[in-house]
Amino acid sequence: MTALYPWIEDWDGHVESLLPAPAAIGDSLSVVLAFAWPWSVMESALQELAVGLVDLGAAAPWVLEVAGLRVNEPPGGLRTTEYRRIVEGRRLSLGSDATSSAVWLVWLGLTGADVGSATQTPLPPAGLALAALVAFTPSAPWLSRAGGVLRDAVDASTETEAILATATTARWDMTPWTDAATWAYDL
Amino acid sequence: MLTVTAAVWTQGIRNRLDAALSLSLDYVGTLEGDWTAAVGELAWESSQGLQIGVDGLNPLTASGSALDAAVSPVVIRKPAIASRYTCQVVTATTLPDRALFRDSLARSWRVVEGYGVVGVGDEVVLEAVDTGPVALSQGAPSTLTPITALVTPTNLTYTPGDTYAVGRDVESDSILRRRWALSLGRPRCPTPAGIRRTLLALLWVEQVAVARTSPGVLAIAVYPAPVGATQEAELGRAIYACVGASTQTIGAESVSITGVDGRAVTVRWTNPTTQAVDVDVTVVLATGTTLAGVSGAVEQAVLAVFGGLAVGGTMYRLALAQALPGPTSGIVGGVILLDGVAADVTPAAVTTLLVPGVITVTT
Repeated sequence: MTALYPWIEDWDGHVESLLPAPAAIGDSLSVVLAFAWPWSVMESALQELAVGLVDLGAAAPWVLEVAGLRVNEPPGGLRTTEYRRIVEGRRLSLGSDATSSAVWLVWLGLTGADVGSATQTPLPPAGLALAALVAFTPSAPWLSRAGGVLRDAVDASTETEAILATATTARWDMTPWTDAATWAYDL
Repeated sequence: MLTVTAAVWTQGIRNRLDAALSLSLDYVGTLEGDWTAAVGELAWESSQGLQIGVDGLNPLTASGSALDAAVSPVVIRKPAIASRYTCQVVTATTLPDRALFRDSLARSWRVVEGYGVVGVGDEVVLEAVDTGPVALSQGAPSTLTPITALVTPTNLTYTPGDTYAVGRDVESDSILRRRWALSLGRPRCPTPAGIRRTLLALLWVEQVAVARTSPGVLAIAVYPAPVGATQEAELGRAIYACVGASTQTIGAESVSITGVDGRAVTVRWTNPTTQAVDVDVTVVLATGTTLAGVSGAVEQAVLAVFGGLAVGGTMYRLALAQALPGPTSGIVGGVILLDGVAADVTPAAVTTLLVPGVITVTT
């Protein structure tokens, strides 16, 4: 069953159901199924598109690209997992009203569901510090683009710091940690 | 994803048919060959339609009405607007509604406000019949003469400094696409994208730049500068609506508006300065192509790239090279200089907008 055509349980069965009885047997059925095959491919593509545009986590790479271009985020050579986070973050950023909850959603969307821990802390005056421990090693293009997404989600007059740490870099939530420890990734 | 040829679809059908029948059919010059080729062609047409639909979801490639749908509801294409000027009556008369006048350049105008019985010096508002940037002189008074047959014809005079609003053409695809890219935020919200979306939605605003100068302080540059008290107040209200409650705006320009508490609030902004960039394009033409035949297209391409620049944006030679007509137009190569140098041009300040200077096209 597809989301687009709920009455279609399976494509070949659907084609067969449309045939009069004499044509639904043997070689006749084989010929019709072969002729109908291209439309099963297109139906699958539409299905992928419909599902992927709603659920980025389930989106095929080509659908993810369509979703990204809808929010002016072309792939630009990013790895699929990183690109998915950028598109997710940009989508959430689109609805941000710069409140704590909105910025928090964008931050989690950008850093991904596999984030170890994350915080946001107000910094006087008019500042915000974001930090997250992530399970992936971010690439330089991702860091640059994630920073752009985040900047579009926070109050324009707010000074924002955003820092990522991985298990192999200095971790912001470990105690004690020394001043010599450095943050590896600064958005 | 779906960009395949009719031959690919046809071959796929034949492979499946052979597999299902456990045969290797002869498709050359046979009925089976004609059938499968026809269905393959039909499949290609269907898949192309689907591909066009998918491409239409992408604002970066969609155009025309497809672009309108792709960028909606973030932005909606700005319609064409006619110019409006407030003029004075020279001789007392009775002006019918929509009475027609023409200016010294034979452009037609019609009376839209102040018609009826009018006296010397009374003000009437004229609207240009043609939409777009139809402008009267701001250097000397303009006389408009009647076209409509009147009982007592009268001339009208526009004096520079009186109220006016120059019209504009319908928003082009490239400008709409750029506005969409800058407006990907929630309207009336204090995010950079939200501020840009809110201000760029004003019909007369073409460029907006937002910069934080210090915590809690914003510098907002708007291009072109608002004309008259109406546009200034409109801009002030729009800025007030989207910046944070604790945010201070700075800039050389200001307007006082009424805040939500009923008290006067001063909103500030900056009118960007412009910086002209001379463009020298030396083209290499294909055999049979003349410079006269391509220079117009080259100039239009250069102007289009400038039209897509944001305030503070850099003019890249590569952007110009990509925009120029290609080999199919008879241009097979060339050199682009900006201000006489083979280098990109970055404006002197983030509040400066690069505009085209002298455009020279040579071989």
